[in-house]
Amino acid sequence: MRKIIALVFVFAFVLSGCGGNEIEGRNFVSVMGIDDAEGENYNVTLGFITPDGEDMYTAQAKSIETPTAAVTDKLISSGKRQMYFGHLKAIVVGKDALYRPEPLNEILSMSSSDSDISMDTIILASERKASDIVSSVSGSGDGLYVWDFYKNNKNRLYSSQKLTLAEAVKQNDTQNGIVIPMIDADDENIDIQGGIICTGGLYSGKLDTGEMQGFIYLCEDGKGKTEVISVNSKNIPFEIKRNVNEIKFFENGGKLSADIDISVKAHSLNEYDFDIDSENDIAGLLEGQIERKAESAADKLQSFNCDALGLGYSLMREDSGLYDKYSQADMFKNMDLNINVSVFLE
Amino acid sequence: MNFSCNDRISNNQLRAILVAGLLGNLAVSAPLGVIEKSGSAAYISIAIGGLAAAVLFYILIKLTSAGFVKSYEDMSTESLGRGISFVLFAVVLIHIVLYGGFQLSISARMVQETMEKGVGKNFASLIIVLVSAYMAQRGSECIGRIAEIAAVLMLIFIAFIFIVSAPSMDLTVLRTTPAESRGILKGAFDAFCSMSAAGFVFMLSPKTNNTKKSAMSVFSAIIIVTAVLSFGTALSVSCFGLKEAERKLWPVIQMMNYTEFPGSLVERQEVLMSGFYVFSSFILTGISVYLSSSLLGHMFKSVKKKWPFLLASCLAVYALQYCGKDAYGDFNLIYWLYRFNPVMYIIMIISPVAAIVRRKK
Amino acid sequence: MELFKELNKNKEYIKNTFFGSDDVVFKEFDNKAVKCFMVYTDNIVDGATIESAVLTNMMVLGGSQPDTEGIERHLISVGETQLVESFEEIFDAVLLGDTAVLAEGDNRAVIISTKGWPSRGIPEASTEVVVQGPKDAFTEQGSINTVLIRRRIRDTALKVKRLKCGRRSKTDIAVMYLKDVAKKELVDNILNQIESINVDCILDSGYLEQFLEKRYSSPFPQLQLTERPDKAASAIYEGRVVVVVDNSPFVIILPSTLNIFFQSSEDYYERWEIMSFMRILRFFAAALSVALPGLYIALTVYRPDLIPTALALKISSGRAYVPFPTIAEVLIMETAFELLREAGVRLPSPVSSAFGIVGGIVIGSAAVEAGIVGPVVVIIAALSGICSFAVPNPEFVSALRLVKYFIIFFSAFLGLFGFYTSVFLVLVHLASLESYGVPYLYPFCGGSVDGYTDFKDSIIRVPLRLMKKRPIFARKGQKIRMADKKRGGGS
Repeated sequence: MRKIIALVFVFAFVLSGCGGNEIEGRNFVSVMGIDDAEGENYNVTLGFITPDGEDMYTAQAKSIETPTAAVTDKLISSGKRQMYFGHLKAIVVGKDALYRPEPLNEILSMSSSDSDISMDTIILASERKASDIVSSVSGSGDGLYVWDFYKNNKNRLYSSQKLTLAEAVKQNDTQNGIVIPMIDADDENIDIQGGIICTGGLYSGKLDTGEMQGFIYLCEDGKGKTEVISVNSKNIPFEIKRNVNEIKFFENGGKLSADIDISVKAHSLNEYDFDIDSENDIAGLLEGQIERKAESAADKLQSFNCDALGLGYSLMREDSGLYDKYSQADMFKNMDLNINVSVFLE
Repeated sequence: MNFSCNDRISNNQLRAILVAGLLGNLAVSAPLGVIEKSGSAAYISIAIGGLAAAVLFYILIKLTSAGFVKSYEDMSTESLGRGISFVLFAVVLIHIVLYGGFQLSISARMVQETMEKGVGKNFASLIIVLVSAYMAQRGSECIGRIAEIAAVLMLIFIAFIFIVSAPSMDLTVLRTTPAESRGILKGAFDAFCSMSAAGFVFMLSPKTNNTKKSAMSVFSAIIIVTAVLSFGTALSVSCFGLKEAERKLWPVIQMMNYTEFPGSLVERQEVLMSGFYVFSSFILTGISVYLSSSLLGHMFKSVKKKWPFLLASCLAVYALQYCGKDAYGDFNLIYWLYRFNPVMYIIMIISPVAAIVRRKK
Repeated sequence: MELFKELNKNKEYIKNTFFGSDDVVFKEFDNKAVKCFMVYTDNIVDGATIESAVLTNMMVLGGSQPDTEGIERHLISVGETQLVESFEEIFDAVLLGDTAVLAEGDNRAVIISTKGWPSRGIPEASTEVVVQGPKDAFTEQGSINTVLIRRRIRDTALKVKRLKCGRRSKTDIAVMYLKDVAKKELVDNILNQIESINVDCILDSGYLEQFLEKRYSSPFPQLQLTERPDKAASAIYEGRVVVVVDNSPFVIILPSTLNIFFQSSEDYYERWEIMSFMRILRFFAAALSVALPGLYIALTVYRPDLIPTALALKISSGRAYVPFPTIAEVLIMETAFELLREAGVRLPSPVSSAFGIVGGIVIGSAAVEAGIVGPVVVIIAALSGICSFAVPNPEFVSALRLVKYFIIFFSAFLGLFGFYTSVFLVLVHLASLESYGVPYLYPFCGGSVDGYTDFKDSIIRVPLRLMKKRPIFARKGQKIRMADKKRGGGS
């Protein structure tokens, strides 16, 4: 019996047909940009790294037109090397591509179709052409790649979120819209601020920096962010230590309402002389600032009927009876949102 | 003590075989079906179902262990006679072969999807069967020894993942809606069925050195598997969200990718986790091949050599992986088989009960 | 064949048997009462003993003794003598370095112990070097080896059972064990096994080891060989059996488990914390030495997405101009390392260190600069080789070296799945091994038999004060090796 097993093993090996590409035979795609193209096609731009020997590698960008937004290595090749998506770090969707729902849906379904692509891939959107963004970040050549940006700029990211493929899929399943962080880049700099609102996979509008910050607080993502207030013409930065929200749904005069209580704990990054009264004033200033940002974000989202906060899903899970009473299509748009912020200073 | 007595296993090895064999395979196949029925309350369903299976096993084995002698096959032949025991063996054989074959199919598909796309599913199955045949040829004690090591490694690794992942759980997703509450018992029944590997348990329990302690070993094994699966399911649902967790074929495995290991060198942790799942597949397929070849050997005692039975078992287990057209087909087949598991309780206790009755006479 | 009473007939028979062996010396002389005939092998006897204790006594000083019994009792002033009645016994004794004396009219012979083998004295251990601990090692003389063990076990329970093995070599074998600690069935099993060996010669303990192992086809050693007397004595104290083979500086200890191959003598001489750390390091090093090359191939060829991006780029750029596939690259480096290792063993010591440096530089740097291999593979091969040296037992290391290629082969064909499969197959093979009834993977498998107490001396080593029980090898009722002592006053 052992001989039979050994023989079958040998034959199986020889006939396995398995084989991989050598690592140096791959181009490592780090960024992918998707723009709209003529007809039903898309213009996909890949920013990839080619190993060159002698510890050097060059970064390039290459665009092709393709009928699908979710490309695989079978569609694109560059010279003798295979395009390898295992190290894809970011996907940038151009604004024009978001005028059709297919690109976003295809990107979000990429996780199940291609196991090479990690669920940690960052999704970004751009008001400019994604191909320009990708070419800029690829062409800079000195390492300012998108994947380094989040790692190297943790403290600066008070006006943006990190939206991964996994998170986007989760939100897309439960909400009728998502907010995709916005990127802008040139040869020198990368900047990620604000966000693009997508309702039903389609472009609706955008959140500016302040509104994006408000959105972040509404999503309970404020921890670690920095909030700056101005007191007596002095700027006082505060680090947000905790951001916890409580949402209560109720009916008020036949209208669906929600009270969103944002509780924030903050710690000042600079030392100041406070007396008790001024400390309360400072807390009040912070509350007011955060509340304004949150309200403007909520108003913007409501105006585009983009329930990126997942309020509808939360209501469905908490009180399905109340949820069923209202039309799901307009529920978020017509919801009366009352945002209250309370700040505790450490 | 000279414990080189092949075909006997210790109680610890029995526990390890059940943990190692069930853990990996149920982590793939059980949660999906339960999540579909119970939604966010899947972890509660698994806990209830697993506990029920553990308690039932404990009671049944405790009541029937007095009848255990040498092996299940010897016990059946002595107490029921050759004719009835032949029919009984045939039923048990079919159950074990189906179990091993369908799980093999799922395992091979998982290997192909998560670990190595270039490996064809049939080829991965072939490798698993060959390794299992090598293991089965060495006897149950060899399988038990391997399981002891594999179970400990798997549990340590899983515990580490759970500890690292737990702080980032989104508990709000786990809140149960009224609709989901009604599905808890349905999901619990599914979980109970999937944990009720009665064929394996009752065939292995008589092989232990101390059959009186078998009940506790089986109970603790099922409890461990239940605890791990329950927590793992809660973790994966909170990680993916409910809809995505329902869509994912192997949520508990793929959830590993979201775990941030401190100082991790590896980018895709779920592939590492798949390695332990592969060990679990080897053990489960190995024990299936071993038990089925042992049954065949007893059914056809006139054939003195062992290798034809081993070959037949391997071929049968391998051939079954062609039954499912795709992953969902495989899962449907295994769920169908799980539903048959409760019946196996009744079938498997016939022999020990008959042995006890015969002894009293 | 029995001896004759006539001296001439005995003399003729013996001379005919040893015809052509010019190193066998025959001497005829007169005891004052009777004619005698003496035979011995030159250069393996102690000439001084023959002259003073035999010839002088018999020819010069001695009185008249009419037969061999009288000669033995009154004329031979040597401690070990024996009366024999067959030619075979005479031949065995003479070839072993004893002297045979025959007398006229007597069909017996006196065998006098006059062994004077040339030997090199007690050397230092060369393969099992320790920083702290005794440095003496076994020699080729079995009698000295048993003495070295006896020095460490001054207990009447220590038994030394002597056997001969090898039809022609008649090699002396000594089986040493503690009668009240070692399992009787184990000792009997070993003795039966040795007695059942029917082979021309046993030249070394390695020969005997291969006959005593049950699964001789496995690359993993199931018996332990050691050149250290302290290790042998320690094993006997644990209930294991030591087999001393004449002409071999290595003794066999059995049974042996995988855990034992990771133990070094100085584990017990130094502090438990550092030695526990070293043990963990050894296990880790063994795993690394076996798995690293295969894992490297599996990841770089099949799953580069598992490697961090910066490292993947580094590896990729290092391989940009390498003309060989990764598997060939790894095999080239591994083979080169093995060749270096083999060549280094056989080189004279003044040259070997220089050769090692040159070989490393040539193979390492030059190969990289020439573009034959990538720099990462050199590191992988070197690390794998260095890690293998961390394991104390050379035989086990040899097995690991072979297993490494097995894993490389699987990983090259099947990627990560092949890596896991090969590792599992190795584990299955280890799990199926036994050493005289003890599972090879004990205490990692079957540790519950002894209440997991043997884990105290496995991956870690607990303080000696806590190692109160003997391991699984000892018989029941002899498990306790350290009794609790009542404390008096003071520290």
